[in-house]
Amino acid sequence: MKSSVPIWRLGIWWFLGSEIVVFGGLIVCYLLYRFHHPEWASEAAHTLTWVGAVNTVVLLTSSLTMILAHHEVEHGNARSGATYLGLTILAGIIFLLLKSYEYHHEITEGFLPSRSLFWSFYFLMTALHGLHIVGGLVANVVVWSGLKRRFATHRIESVGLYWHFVDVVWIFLFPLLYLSASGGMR
Amino acid sequence: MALRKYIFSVDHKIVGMQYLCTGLVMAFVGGYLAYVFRHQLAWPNEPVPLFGMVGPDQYNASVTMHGTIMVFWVAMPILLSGFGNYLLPLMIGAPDMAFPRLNMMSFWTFFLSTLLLMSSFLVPGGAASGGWTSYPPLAASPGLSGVEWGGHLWILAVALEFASMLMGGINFLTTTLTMRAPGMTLFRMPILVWMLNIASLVFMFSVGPLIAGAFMLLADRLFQTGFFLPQSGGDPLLFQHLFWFFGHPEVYVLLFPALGIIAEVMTVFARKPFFGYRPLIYASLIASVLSFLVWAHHQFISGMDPRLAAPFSITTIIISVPFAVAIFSYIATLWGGSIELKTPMIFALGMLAEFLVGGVTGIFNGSAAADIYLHDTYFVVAHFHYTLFPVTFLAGFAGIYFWYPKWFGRLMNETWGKIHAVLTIISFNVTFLPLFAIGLVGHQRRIFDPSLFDYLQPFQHLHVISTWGFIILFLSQIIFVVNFIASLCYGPIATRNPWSAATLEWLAPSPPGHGNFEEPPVVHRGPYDYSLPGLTGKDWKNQTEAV
Amino acid sequence: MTKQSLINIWLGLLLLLGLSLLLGSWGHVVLATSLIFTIALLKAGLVVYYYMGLKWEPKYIALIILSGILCLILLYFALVPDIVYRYGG
Repeated sequence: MKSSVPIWRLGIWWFLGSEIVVFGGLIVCYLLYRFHHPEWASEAAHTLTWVGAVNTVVLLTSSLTMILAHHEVEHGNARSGATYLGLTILAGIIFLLLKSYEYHHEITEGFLPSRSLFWSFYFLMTALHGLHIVGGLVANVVVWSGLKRRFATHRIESVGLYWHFVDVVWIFLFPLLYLSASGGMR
Repeated sequence: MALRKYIFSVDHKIVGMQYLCTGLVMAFVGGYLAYVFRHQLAWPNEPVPLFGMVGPDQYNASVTMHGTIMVFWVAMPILLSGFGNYLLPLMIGAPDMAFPRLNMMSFWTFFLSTLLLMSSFLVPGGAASGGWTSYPPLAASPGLSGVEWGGHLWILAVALEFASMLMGGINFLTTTLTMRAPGMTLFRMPILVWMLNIASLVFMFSVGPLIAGAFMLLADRLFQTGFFLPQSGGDPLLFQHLFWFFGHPEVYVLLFPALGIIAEVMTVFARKPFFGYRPLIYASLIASVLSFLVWAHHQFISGMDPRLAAPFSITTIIISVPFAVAIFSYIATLWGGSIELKTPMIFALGMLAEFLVGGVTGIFNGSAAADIYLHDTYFVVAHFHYTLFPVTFLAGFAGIYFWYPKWFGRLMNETWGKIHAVLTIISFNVTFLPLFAIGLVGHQRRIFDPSLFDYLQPFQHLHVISTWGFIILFLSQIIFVVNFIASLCYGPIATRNPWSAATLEWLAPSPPGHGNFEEPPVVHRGPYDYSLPGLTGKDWKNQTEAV
Repeated sequence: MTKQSLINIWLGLLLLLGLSLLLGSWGHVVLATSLIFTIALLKAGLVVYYYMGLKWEPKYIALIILSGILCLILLYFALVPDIVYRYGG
């Protein structure tokens, strides 16, 4: 049985497999505590749901531009591929700016990580996710700067896989941290 | 150029050697720490030669760091990364790993983690002293243990070490799936290759929650969060669960490569095909799944829900079944073989026998009723040293003596090797057998000064015996070091295949050059075709020889 | 995948997001929450299946992902009696 998946893509999948258990472990801990502490709903009500929602749109859109960049490069259009990848990078930066606005708002309002367990989780999970965004941005910039010199479908697909994964993590973090304000998840 | 070739090399053989040597050096650090606290236990409050007086804080730190170093900086790098990196591509007939640069990065991440860990001895407050399991609240609040930076560094170093091992695991799995030589089907792979991959898988899926837990613990220490602190609504028990959800599979992450190593050694020195190759692989796969279902047997007295005790006792006893299958396979492989007692074989036989003692005593610890009495006594200490010492050192030495000619092109001295083997195995038993007895009378672990307890006084001589055993064990390793270094220059020149072994790595030159094989091998048969009838001159066929 | 179908998936994702935001203010808390998380799973599924190309990968790639998730489910359910129902909570 020879594998039909190219080496680099298989490597990324294994890497994502190991990332799933890291983020997943954190989410499992959060859920366990969340069910134990129904009163967190009132804490969660202080998150800026609309900023979070806009950030979700930003990340979903960045996923679209990322897959379009891959699509273009695959069809031989390095120029428009670079444009789409540039848009993805831009979206990542917007995400981080909005996230820091949120952090600024929360910290000035006194919602520090040490305030309660909910905020501990909020800051730890979003910070870990933010670090992944930063890592993804660095990788994207490296691929973007090399895109004009050589066609490297596999490079853009590798960073793409990772970027989509970070997006998927956010898809779960958003309802876990923002939408649980209504007293749900008892 | 030499820098590029030997230090910052992407060649899997250099990376493997780097891991192996770092692991061996760290073994001496871990051994020295063991010497410090064993001396304190045998002769309480007497100054330790080559150290000085041991205070309670230093005692705690040395116990903690001994455990951490031996598991994460000795066993993991030697068994998984050292042997794995060097041998896996050779054994499947590949020129290198799938991701050579990732491989180099993996080692340097590991090296950085080693430096971080070692630097924790130098920071104010000393090294981490919360036990190698680092349980909160003790480990989560510097105020309780008095260790500030040592604890931070411990968590960072361990997290980095995990990251480096994950990179290695990704490399092993991808290499095995994509880089096998033509004809090397999955069931023609040597057992060691299988075991390295199973170990990587188990590690990959069990370590994630603990990495998350390490971040939470670090946040508790640095940002006054309360993930594991009851006064903030957190739960210390959660960390124990995260730790052992990883910690128990980790035992098998170490055991599998060791089983792989002794399988290679035993088939060669018994001149027999492995008995039950497929059953062994299936048993290992079953055990690797079961290893995710047994972790709470480390926590029977932790205050966890008592309803969990029965299921986890049962799964623990079930997991001994696949390992019994494995042990019987090894014994049946020896049965009727023409056994040649070379040094690697003595170590491999020692590993099998000693590990059996460790496994059997594990059944007592695994059943909740017995464990409530035995938990945290020296019985447990003796038990896990009877599992981990054979796995790490006896199997490790078996592998080193066995593949040394391949690595360096010279053989190690056989006589001194045998003396080393016999001394190591005997002194190991002298060290740890008394601890079973001392544990059964109720001696708790992590007691700084046993002379404070009257009921332990009649058994103090057992501590003395154990410590003498350890001193002999530690000193015997000097024989190994001298033999290892001297054989580099003076050992007899080895041919490509000094042991008449059938697996692919013995086709390559000793030591293999860059790219491993002169011509890419094509595989036609299984890995253990020994004692074939009707051959003249030799009794085996290499995997590349036509059927 | 054509460019248009990639964009259609994105539109679908945005639609699902809007839906979950609406559900956030719905009074029937238990139902709303379970729907919100079903939607999250659906969104993640769309991204993984089409954008990450799981659809075109051999089956064992899905197995990598599933084994990870299986471990997490196991961890979660084993810890429920200990953490969620601790001190009778």
